[in-house]
Amino acid sequence: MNVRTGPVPLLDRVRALVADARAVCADDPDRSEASEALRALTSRLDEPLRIAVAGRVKSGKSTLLNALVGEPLAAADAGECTRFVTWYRHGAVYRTLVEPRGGAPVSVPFRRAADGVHPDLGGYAPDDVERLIVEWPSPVLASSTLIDTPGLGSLTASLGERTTGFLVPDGSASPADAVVYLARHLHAHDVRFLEAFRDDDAGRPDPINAVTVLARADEVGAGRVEAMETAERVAQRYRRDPQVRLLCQTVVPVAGLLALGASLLSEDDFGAFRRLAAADTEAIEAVIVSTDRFGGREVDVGIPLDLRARLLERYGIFGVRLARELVRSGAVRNAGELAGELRRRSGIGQLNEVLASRFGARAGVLKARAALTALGHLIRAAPASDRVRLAARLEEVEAGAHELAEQRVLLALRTDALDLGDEETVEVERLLERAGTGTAARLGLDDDTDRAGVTEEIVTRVKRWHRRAEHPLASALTVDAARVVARSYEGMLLELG
Amino acid sequence: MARPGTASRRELAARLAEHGIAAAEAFGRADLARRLSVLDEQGGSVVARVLVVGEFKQGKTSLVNALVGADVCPVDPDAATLVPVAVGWGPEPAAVALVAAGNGVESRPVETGALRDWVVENGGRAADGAVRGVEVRWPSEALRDGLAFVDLPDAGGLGSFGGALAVAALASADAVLFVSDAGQELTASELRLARRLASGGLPLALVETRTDIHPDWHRVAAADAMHVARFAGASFAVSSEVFGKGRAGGDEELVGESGIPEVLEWLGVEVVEGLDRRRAVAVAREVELTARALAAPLEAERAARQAPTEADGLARRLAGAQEEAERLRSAAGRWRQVLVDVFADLSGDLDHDLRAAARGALRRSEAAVDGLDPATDWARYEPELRRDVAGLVADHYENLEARIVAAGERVAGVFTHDAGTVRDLVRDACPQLSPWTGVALGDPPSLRGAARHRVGGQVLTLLRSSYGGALMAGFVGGVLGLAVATPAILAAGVALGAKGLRDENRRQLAQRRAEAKAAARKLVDDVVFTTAKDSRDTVRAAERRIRDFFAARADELVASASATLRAVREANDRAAASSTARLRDIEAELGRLDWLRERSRDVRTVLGEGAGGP
Repeated sequence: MNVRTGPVPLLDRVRALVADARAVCADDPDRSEASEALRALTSRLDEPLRIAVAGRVKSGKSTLLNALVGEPLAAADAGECTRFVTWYRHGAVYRTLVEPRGGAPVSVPFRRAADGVHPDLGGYAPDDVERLIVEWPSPVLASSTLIDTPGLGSLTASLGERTTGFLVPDGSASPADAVVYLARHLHAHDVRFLEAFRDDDAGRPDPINAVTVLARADEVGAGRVEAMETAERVAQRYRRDPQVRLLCQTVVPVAGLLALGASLLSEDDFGAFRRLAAADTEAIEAVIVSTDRFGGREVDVGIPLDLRARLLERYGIFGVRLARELVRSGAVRNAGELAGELRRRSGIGQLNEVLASRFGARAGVLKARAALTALGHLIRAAPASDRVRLAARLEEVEAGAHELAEQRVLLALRTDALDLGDEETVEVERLLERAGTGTAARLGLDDDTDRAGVTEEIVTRVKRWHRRAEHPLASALTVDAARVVARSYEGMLLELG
Repeated sequence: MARPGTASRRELAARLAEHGIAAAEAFGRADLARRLSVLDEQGGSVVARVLVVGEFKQGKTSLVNALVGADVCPVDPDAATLVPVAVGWGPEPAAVALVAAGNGVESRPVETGALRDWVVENGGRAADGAVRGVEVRWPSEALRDGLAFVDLPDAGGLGSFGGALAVAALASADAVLFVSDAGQELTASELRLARRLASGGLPLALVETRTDIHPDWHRVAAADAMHVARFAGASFAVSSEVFGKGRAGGDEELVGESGIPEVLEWLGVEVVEGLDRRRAVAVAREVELTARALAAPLEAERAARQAPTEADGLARRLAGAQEEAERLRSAAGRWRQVLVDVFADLSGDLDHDLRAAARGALRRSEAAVDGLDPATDWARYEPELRRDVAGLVADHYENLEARIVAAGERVAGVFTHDAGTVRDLVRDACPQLSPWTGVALGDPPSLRGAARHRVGGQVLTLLRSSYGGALMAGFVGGVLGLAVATPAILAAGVALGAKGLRDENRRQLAQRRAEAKAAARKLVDDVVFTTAKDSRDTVRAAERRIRDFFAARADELVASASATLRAVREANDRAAASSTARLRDIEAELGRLDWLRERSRDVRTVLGEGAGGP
């Protein structure tokens, strides 16, 4: 968190609160369970942000996860392969663990295949497995833990229940701090799924902590070369949809397979694309029309069938068409350039930016929100004597946190509950969403605005929002929001010095 | 894509009908002739409607275009089709939009090139909710045999009606193509909808689309085929894209690989051929019954001439039969009483059920509103409410149809019984007669599809047949049967103006809820009002139609009985001098009628037993 509005950052105050609660429970054998939960909460506050990847069956969850990490960890195939909730987190060594229901994680051997990591369940029956943990040394995982979940809407109802049970457990807080929700097109089902999680609790998907990805974006519009532009148009429409705005921060199209392919692109692959590009146009047109033909038709297009099958598997028909086109037109000249271009077009970069700005930059708030919710659950279950005191402390922290107040305003803004004009809405959203990282960007000013200009602008705005808060006709919610906005601007002034 | 056999099957039926009509006219039975010619005309113009159903963005419209073999409907990678589009045969491309106007719907001609404006999500006119549907005529070979495709709006997009529209449309359909993207296995909700659509007994095929971009489609298609094996007639995997390329480049191999020809083949065999066959069998049955009705007076006359001493008694007993037939025709006919009673009950029950369902929906909505704050939650709750209401309407129409069918069958039962009495009287009078069936009693007429909905003032009620398919007299629904766009369901889709709900003042939560409930109540009331009116009109039209049908049958029965009686009396009155010559004539006439009966029986045997046609 780079915005400090109080003497102590929110996360630290939450830490202190958790420590207090632990002290209350300490040494009391009757409360060993609560004690254990609090211990876990303490370490959770110091862990990387936990981002769950959820979505309908075959929406491309595993592929996207792999694309984010940049290497194939989660095995993906067209079946319902993701049968377990699997945590991918950073570790010093490569290892996999199985956590049985009601037990501690046990390290198990694993097999590394081209499509991902396959832990050996050993003696555990699938129904007895609570979750799998894959520890992998990876800079991506070092900044956030990724959690793969079984597909929703699956024909095997119990798989979907696993996800729902994981993200929305009864009576306790969600173990995830934020959610990336995948959909191929936003469906009434998807909305209902996201709605089901909308709740006062943090940690469940809501417009603060959820991002929607239009996954498998390369398949939009028949997998033509311009598919990604079309997908971006679709995403734009969803971003403006009031229903969708209530459920997530934003909507980003990503072609996961293409992104992963770009990370794995080898010189050999580039050579293959070059040969494809050089092949007889008529011959290549005849096979590139369908995956069946490309993968199985005996026509000389410069590369053998097994290589074609591999390209298809790695890049998809869209990726093959695009890569060939890029090489043929001379837009790229070597493997590095091709990988860069495929990556750029895959949309993964945009998603990374969104995750960094919407989640990464706010990791403290998101974690604090999730921890406060978890604490709330624990406190409600505590004996009356402790409950009153701890609940008061909790409320104090919650009410005093400007970061949380900002999130509340953002939520109110999204639900159209404030009587602000269109320009004001845009201004507040930009300020509170922290879509841009720099101060000027948050103000909506040009990047080259000088310091004095920025300061002057902020001062003007602070005054304006204070006046807004005193407007006699303004509603209570709007007054509250105006004060919060003014305070956020004041915080920026402090930061500028 | 003309299949061999279709034309000859139709011709066979048409020629047989011609013979039957000629015979009826020759014997002065214009009533029977008329009935046959109506049946024959219907045979030529009946359309087999194929619903194309599936969730959001699964490639339904592309599939329709591929099946039709032309880019008829606008396809958009982003926007979805918003209104039902029916595509059927016409000699020239033409299209009309059905647009709400006042209390009804009027059709407006549309440029076939400008369809996008009318049907697609972000098109100009589709979004305002006034467009109920679009009907397109296209000179496509695939449609020439009578196929029509109805491309339904998605069953699951944001703010969609769920499967309600598809379920409501079932009543007017002959087959269903359930469309799903081959990139993933069927989901639980897709499978539920598909099973629901097949539960009515219509042929249903699963069509997996976009096989050209999913390397894994073989596995997905195989798994899905297993999922639907119990209720689907067939499963296909197609690529509309590959078909389009093949068609454009004249590449037969590509066309073959696309899988589209197999779907057309299935539709040809399962839908068009089945319909043709039922139609031809119905014609054959009617011709046979007509031949018997025509033969009866001749046989009676022959009996009278051969045993002149018994002729008086014969005439007396036949007069009794005729009297019975007259009673059946008159207002005192028992079936008329049953008809009135049954339909009075029916209207009452339907109305009661509809209102009970509406109350249920209101209760659900009030409970839901009590659990939310309309200021923040209305946007997400409203589609749910609309889906609920649309589901209610769909259920109502399904119920309506089942009830009308049941009512028709009750009337038919009573009529058949009483007409059977007349027949027995005749048989008692003259045992020499071949089984006397002065009226087509073969099977009670079935009324499946009777609940076809109204569009404007034009009743689209189609009393169709099953039971071997005697197409009921009268009526083939207008145009392509786009009555599926039930006004009530579409009315449920109109967004509620609920601006006041945004009021942010916390203290007014109770008031906001009251307003939200009022908005929900208004929606339910409006939809119930439209539905109730539509359903009353449908019931009334069905009642009229059933009455007319049996009244015509009663007329025929009276005419047949009178003709038989007359034949006996005339034989009695005239001198026996010409008797030998007359008997020879009678034999000759009977021989010709026998030939007609034989031919009818042949047609029934050939077509009825499922041999692939002549």
